[in-house]
Amino acid sequence: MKASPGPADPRDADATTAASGSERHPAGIPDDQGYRNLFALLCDWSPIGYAVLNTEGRFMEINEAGARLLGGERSDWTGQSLEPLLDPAQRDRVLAHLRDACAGRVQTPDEPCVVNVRLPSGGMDPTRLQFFSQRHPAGEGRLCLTAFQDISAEVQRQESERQRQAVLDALSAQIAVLDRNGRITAVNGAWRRFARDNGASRELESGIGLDYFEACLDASAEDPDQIAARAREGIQAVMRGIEPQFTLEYPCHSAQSQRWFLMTVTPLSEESGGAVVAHMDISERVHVEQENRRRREEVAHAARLSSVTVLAASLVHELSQPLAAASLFAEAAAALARKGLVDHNQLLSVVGDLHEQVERATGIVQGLRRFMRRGELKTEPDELARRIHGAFVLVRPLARRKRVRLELETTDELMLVQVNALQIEQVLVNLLCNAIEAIDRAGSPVRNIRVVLEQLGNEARITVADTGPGLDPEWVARIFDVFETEKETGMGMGLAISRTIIEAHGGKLWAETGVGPGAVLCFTLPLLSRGVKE
Amino acid sequence: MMRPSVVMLLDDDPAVRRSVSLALNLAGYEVKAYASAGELLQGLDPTQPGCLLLDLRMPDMGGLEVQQALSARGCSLPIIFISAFGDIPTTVHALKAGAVDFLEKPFSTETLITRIEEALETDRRQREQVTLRQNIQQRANQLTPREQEVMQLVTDGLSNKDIARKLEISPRTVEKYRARVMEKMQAASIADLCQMMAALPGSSGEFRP
Repeated sequence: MKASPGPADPRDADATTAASGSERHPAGIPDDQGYRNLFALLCDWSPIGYAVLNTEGRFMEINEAGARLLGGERSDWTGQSLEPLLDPAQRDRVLAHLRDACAGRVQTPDEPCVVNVRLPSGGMDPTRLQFFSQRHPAGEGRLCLTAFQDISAEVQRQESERQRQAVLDALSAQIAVLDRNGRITAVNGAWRRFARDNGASRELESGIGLDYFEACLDASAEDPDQIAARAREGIQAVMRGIEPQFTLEYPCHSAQSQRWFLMTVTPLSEESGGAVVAHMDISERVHVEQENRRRREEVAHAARLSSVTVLAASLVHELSQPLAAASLFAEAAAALARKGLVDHNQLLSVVGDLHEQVERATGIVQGLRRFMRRGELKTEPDELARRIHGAFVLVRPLARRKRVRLELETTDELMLVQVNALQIEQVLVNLLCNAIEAIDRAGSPVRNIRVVLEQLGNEARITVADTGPGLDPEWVARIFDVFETEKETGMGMGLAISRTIIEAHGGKLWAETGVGPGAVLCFTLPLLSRGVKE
Repeated sequence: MMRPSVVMLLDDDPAVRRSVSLALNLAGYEVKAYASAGELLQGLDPTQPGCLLLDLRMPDMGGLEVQQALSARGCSLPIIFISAFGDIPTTVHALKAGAVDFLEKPFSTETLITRIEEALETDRRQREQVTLRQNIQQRANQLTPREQEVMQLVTDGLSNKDIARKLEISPRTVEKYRARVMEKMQAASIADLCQMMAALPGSSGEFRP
């Protein structure tokens, strides 16, 4: 029994015993000796080390895999002790394990002994060996049968897994790691806390194995801004490698507070696919931004009201035109109706004219009311050309009154920008009014304002050039100051506020010098990529 | 009898032109509408009786410039300025230059017609005045220099005796000239003759109201 685990040569077993066994048993089942030889063969093939050890830790027998694992041949280790390999601190524990095994006090192999050993080939890090030992049936309490394997890689894997989790848990953002199919493979502590605090299900709290889209995104039934759909598209784009990263800011208000989050999607790795989705609470930043926006709009609103004083006279004139016509058409209709023999077609045509003039007046009033109203704080995708037309509608009466021609030159009507429409119109009204006043005050013989809308890279650029006397170079540096003004009208604060508005939109506003005789003011706005609106 | 009056309208707004024309047509007026000052100045017949309705604020030439251009051509048609925002300096300027009236948009047909009637009446009176003056001038031209002298002194209020002394002729001769002047001038009385003299340009004007 002593030599049974290690036959001299596995090839012998293959050639003699297994073959002879199959001779005697037609079904291919070997006899007892054949079994023993087969297990001996397996023993040597196996990547697991097998050994007979005594209570002092000396190898009485060892298979080839075991010897290789410890770094050597069977002959190097047979009769040698395990002790020199052991970490001195662990020596007693290992020997106790072996003594217990020899004495039969270890009944099951469920209690492995894990030890760090220093192998000559092991480099800096100790190798982790796991021992399963049991009493040798014929060892008289002094021998045990031991199976051992190197579990360093597994331990390292577990360690790095623990570290990864610790890193994830240390982050304040709520994080979910997704595999290529969008299933959650890990979540962090912040995720679990958020789920718990917000009454999510236990499954969502632990997250693992759930389909991210089903679990999180489709849960929000009301989704007017298509946040879920946009998030899904973004995640998929990152997973497919179309986008290097995806971010999305979205509101997620609770009953107690207004909250906003920033979702960041980062690809996991090229081979495995998958992505890391992080949700960061940005409520504080958003609140500050909102407060800034609100203040900016308050100032902008005040400036709009004051610019209305400049536009008022000409808008009243503009309004009285359709009103005059409408009132006369109405009286004419009554006169026609009183005539007895009514020409219905003529009457209808007069009433049609009347209606058209009322519409025209309504349009002017609506435009003005819209401009004077306390505006929205949010921005929306918009066509820049429409804002220019909107500003033209407001300013044209003044231009006509001052006999100034307004021209728009553009190559591409479809330039999309993310803007607060009213504020952008306000900037344009301000620039146009300034230009008209400059031309008028100077009594310029040529009275033109040319507005050019063009695309430069990923920006839209608007140029407002007038035929006035131009800007005094000394002035240019100061025209954007809040209190500087060249005129007594209410537009003084206009340029400073216009610049604030444009900068808040991610653009720039400046005065070009040395371009032409008149003043040239430009501003830029970042263009939305066309994909956004599609 | 005079030719029928025409209302001449200048406004750059097509809706205003159409509505004013329609309202006035329905009230029985003939209207000629112009979209620009150039069109109006080119198409205007100064002998045409009527009145002008001018928008004060025109893109190329304002109402005031039209008024100046017309007066430079010796056209004395009464002008009603229509304006949406008649600011005071412009109004004063226009009134000094002889505008008859101002109408602020919007206005009712009734107001428009009342003002137009007044303007047309002014035009009629002016034209009658011109005709009358022309007649008086024609008659005065038939007088001999001596008769003209006597007429001047008579209307200056001198008695026959004073005239005789001044001209160194006899009072009876003065009487004869005076009778001939009254006859040629078709004057019913001395007061009548005074009025005629007042109507003539270059008269002393002492008897003007």
